Amino acid sequence: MGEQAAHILVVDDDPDVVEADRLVLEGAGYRVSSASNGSEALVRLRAGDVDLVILDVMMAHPTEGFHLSYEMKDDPNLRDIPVLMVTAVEDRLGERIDLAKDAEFLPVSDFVRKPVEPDELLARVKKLLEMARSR
Amino acid sequence: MQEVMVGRVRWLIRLRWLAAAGLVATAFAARELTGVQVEPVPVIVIAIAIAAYNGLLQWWLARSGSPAAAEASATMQIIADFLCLAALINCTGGLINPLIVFMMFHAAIAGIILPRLRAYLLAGFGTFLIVLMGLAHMSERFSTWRIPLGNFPLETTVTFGGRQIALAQHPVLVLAIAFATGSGMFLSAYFTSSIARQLRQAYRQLAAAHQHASEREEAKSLFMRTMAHQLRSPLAAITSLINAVAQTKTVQPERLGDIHRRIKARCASMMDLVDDLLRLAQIREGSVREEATEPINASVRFKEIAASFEATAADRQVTLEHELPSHPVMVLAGPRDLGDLLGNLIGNAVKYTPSGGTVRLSSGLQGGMLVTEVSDTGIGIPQADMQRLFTEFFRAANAKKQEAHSSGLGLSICKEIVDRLGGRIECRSKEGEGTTFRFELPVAGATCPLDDGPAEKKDASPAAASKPAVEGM
Repeated sequence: MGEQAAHILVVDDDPDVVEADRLVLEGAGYRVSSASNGSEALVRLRAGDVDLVILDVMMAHPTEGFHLSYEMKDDPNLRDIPVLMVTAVEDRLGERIDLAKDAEFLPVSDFVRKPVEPDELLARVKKLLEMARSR
Repeated sequence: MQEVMVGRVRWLIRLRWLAAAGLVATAFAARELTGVQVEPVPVIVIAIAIAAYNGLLQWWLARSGSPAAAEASATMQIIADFLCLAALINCTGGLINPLIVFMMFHAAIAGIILPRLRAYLLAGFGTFLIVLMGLAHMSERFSTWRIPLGNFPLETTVTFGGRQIALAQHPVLVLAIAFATGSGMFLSAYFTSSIARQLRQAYRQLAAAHQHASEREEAKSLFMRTMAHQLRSPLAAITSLINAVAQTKTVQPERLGDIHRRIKARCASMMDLVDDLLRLAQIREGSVREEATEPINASVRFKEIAASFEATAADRQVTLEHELPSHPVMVLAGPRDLGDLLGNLIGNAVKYTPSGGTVRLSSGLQGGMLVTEVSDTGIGIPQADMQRLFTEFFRAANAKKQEAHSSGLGLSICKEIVDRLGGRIECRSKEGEGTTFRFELPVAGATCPLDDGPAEKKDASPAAASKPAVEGM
């Protein structure tokens, strides 16, 4: 593991999912904090020191996750923090999101479907952190 | 409806082209085949007149096509048609020309495309034209307006009042034709407008039924999607937790215990959801199949249900009070109905009332109904959420905040049960102060005393407690 305890913010309104992510990520040596909604996440992000955000699209409002990602792109201090979007959004909206197709509307770095296999989660986190570092 | 009118006027115009062409063809055929001397000039003039105003109408309708104007013009069109036909008949033998039956077609068309009253007015107008024609026939002065049909046998003369007159001038015949054709026109208008009205009504019903069916289909599909989402969220959480434990080599025992607790809770909430779904389906199938109900003593049953919540209420430090009728009150219900109905309401009340609060169950008779109220001093329901309260899966915003995992089907189940049993349920609430659910169920008639009539006879017995305290609430 190359990272010096990168700090990952998990944004999800389901405390059980947060706990699962925390277990996997902490097991891999990352520092983890969490937020259960968009505004809480923004406060946490603006406090600094976050290296990567794992974001659930659907929280109290069906598009809360999208809003957070847009707000991050508008903030020069947060713009470069990679965002891994995790969702089951197509269940509710009936449409599948395709990162290749919707990339210009979705200011996120990567996109996975819920639930994520721990190996896959760790691989994506690692890749995104490396990309952010080399930039 | 307005577009329909334009369509009907278009249809009338098409019909008129046929009529104009048919008119010329008939006159020509009558002359060539039967030898009847039809004067060609008036026939051709009238055919040209019809073609001219019909062409003008078609052009105007294609240009403006305003539905309101189309409706107004339909009356004028039929009046013009009546005038043309009357002129044609008058010029080709008068009232005794058999083509006079075509007057009835105009009335029939009016009955189809116009409101009934207007169709009657037009039938009246047609009758007026026929009477006018008959009067013209009988008057010597205007009889020359009638162009005779040459050697046609209808020109036969008869003796009437001691003098020779043409058959067409015979008052009895004129009266008979006027009566027959006039009544024929009114009847045509009546029959066609009745049939048209029925067809339109059937069409409207069909359209409404179709609309209803597609709305239901949509609701069903939304229900399925929401249900799938409701099932997927806990499954995703459970899968994530299990995967996380499997992935992580060393987990502290207390953390493992916590994760085990989390998984169990999510499984339990999923089980509740599935149970609620099954129950909802069962109630719905029951109302479709008219499932059997049996008389149940609500006074006793309600007490049992309330008692089953005493432990939970005590745990949460909520006072659970009840005031129930002391005499038996029979209600027709399925074996599980009352338990689900009252259980859901009391369960919610206890769940959403902070410690130190009170949940109160009261029940009593009111006009042949058993009126029951469950009121609490809980968190209440936001005004904005009141309307969708009984919608499947809907949960009030503050309830969701307090209790993350719940099916959102409890109140739907209550509503389905109350509807099935022929009662009604309503809710009033103030956010932060409390909620009262009130439901009424019909009392099973002869098996118990009602609050009106028989109650007075019961004065002798010590049944003072039968007067419920519910009215004041």
